[in-house]
Amino acid sequence: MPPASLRGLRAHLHALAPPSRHGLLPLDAGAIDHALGGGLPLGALHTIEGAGIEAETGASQAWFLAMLLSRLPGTSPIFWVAQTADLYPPGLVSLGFNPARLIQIRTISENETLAITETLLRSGAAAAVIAELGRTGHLSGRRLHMAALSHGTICFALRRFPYGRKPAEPLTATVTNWRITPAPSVLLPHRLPGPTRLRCDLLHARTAPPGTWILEQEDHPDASHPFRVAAELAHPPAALRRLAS
Amino acid sequence: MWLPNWPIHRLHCAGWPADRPLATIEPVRGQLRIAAACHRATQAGIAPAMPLTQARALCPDLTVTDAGPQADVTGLARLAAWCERYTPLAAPDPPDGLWLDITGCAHLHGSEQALLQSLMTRLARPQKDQPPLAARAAIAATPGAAWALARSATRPALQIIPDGEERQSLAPLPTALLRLDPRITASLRRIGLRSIGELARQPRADLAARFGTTPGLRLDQAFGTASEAIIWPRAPADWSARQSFPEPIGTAEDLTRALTTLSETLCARLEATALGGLRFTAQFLRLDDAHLTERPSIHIATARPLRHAPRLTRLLTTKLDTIDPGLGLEAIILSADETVPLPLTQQQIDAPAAAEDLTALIDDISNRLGPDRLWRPAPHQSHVPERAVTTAPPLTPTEPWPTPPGARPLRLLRPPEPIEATAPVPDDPPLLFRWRGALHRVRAASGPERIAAEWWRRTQRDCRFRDYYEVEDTQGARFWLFRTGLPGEATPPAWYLHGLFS
Repeated sequence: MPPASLRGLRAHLHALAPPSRHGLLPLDAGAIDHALGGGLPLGALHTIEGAGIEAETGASQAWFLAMLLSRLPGTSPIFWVAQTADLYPPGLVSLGFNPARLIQIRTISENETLAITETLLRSGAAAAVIAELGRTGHLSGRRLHMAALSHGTICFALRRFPYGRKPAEPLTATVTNWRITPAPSVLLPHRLPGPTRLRCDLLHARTAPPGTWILEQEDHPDASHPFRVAAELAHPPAALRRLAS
Repeated sequence: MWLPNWPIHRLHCAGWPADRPLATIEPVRGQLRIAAACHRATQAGIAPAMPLTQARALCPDLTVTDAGPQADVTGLARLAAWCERYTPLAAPDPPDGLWLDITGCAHLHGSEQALLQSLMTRLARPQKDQPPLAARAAIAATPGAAWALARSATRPALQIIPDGEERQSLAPLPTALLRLDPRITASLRRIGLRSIGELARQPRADLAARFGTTPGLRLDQAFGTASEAIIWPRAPADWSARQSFPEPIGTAEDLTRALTTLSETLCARLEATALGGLRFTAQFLRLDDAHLTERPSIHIATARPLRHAPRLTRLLTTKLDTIDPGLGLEAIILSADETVPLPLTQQQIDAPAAAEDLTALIDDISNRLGPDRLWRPAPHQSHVPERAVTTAPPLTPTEPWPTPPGARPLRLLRPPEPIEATAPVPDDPPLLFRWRGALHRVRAASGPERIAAEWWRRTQRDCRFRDYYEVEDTQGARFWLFRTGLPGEATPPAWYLHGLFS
């Protein structure tokens, strides 16, 4: 049946898109939440990339994840599956993330990471699963996404590969795809570094237009949120934004 | 059971050629003497305790090797484990014997005679690349009597002494078969006491005055008037289930079905006594097991006590592909090696408990990967960064995390990586540094935070303190650098990269 009008086409598209059955994880950062329509959908696969040396070390991605996961309600554990166990929990404490919820798993191959991640997602006992993946292709991403849907566990694929190596094909099954890179901070007097800044590029999202934000860590200990949006770059065109809503 | 040529059999199993004369040697008072010899060497006239030079003269193509009493004992223990298919109580009796307690086991094979025949036939049959094993065995009501009868040259190789006939059977045997010290045996022979019967007729008080209490004790043990304890290497598990198959099985479906039955049996027994198992072992007894190979088994460890049969079955079957059934399995033994009280709880009807799900998940993964690859990070009281984190089992609650004393990175490099750094002033953070080939220009830096090594664990290498700096390069990436040593010291200061913030 050919759609009669643009309105009809839009309704058709909305019917195709699976509704987020499992709720949303709000970032509590007004601009980003607004663009995403409330937050990151739970029960879905999200990809977090780096760039340059960051793609190898995965430190900025861990920073962004710690910020997100500190807002995750509940007490069930958060699993971090990786081949290199270089995550340093005391660093997470200062970002407001309680490592008492964290369970780390060390794997010896990418295939093992995928298998373990899928088991974790399908059990429904985890609040979130972070998998450090390098060369995972489309099909594995699709499997992870279906597993995440089954019990509403949010899954993050942290893309990490050796510096200089070309990244593998993108995970097209992902609901949102972020690229996190460090950004120069606003210096304090005496050449002291200011609060940490990150540049967050939303490269792709199923229900939102791409966008770029600069996040800044709130240094004040009583701040209600661990970070704030310092600047919003590259405003998407208004027409595109309307279409998305 | 007596294995007359056990050391030689072990060497043949280990790959020594069976078609040439073989002997083992041991140094005795500075002289190399034969400890054991194979039947070819014996035919050539070589006997134990003969000097090596004499043996060489008798048999020029003799192959000799050092005697390995320790390896002999280890091999015996393996053989005892193999014999556990006949009885749960099998123990090695070094240097060349085995104890089998077949009380209550004989009827499984029809009779004691049938059991003994079956055991001997299987031992004497050549196994995969293992030569047949010469063995003599005796069944008697006391260990002492069985020991003597199995080793007696005048008796048949297989014999069964009915209960109460030990005295008559042992009477004509020499006193050397009483497990006495050779010196005592020699003194007994000197005074004319050659057989056990003659020894038993002597007044006990005189014997004890002349030779100590040992001969009397051994006599009583052989006749059953004194008790004797044998140390069994493996106490039979308190909680175990065993299934023997009339026809050997080998397919995955059959194995899964058998494991399901065994799990249900074992878990029902555990439930009846309100216990839960922490460690389980499934042992698979193969039809074609060689005597000296380890039998295949699956070991399961659980984070919380377990007696849920479907979960136990699932944990076991995930490891089933590591089991090679060979020609077929004749029995499976499933045992709970460690049990703790687990009170009966009301099952929730409407929804399964989340804690149960998590425990099942942790068990599943830790049995797949091994327990050391799954952990919960826990704080440790130390200001040295790499020692501030320790690992804990995933289901134990950890103590609350303290706020770190300074800025701490998200990724920690173990060990710290050396970098080339250029610092204008000795006590300042660097202006630029090179790490993994890339040059980073420092835009801002804070520090130093001085962290000294723990003097109570100080080693030669890391006895110096470190000055840590948090630096930001022109891209905004933040690094955790440190410098060891001070300018003007014997070793010049060196820079390392220890972690990454973002």
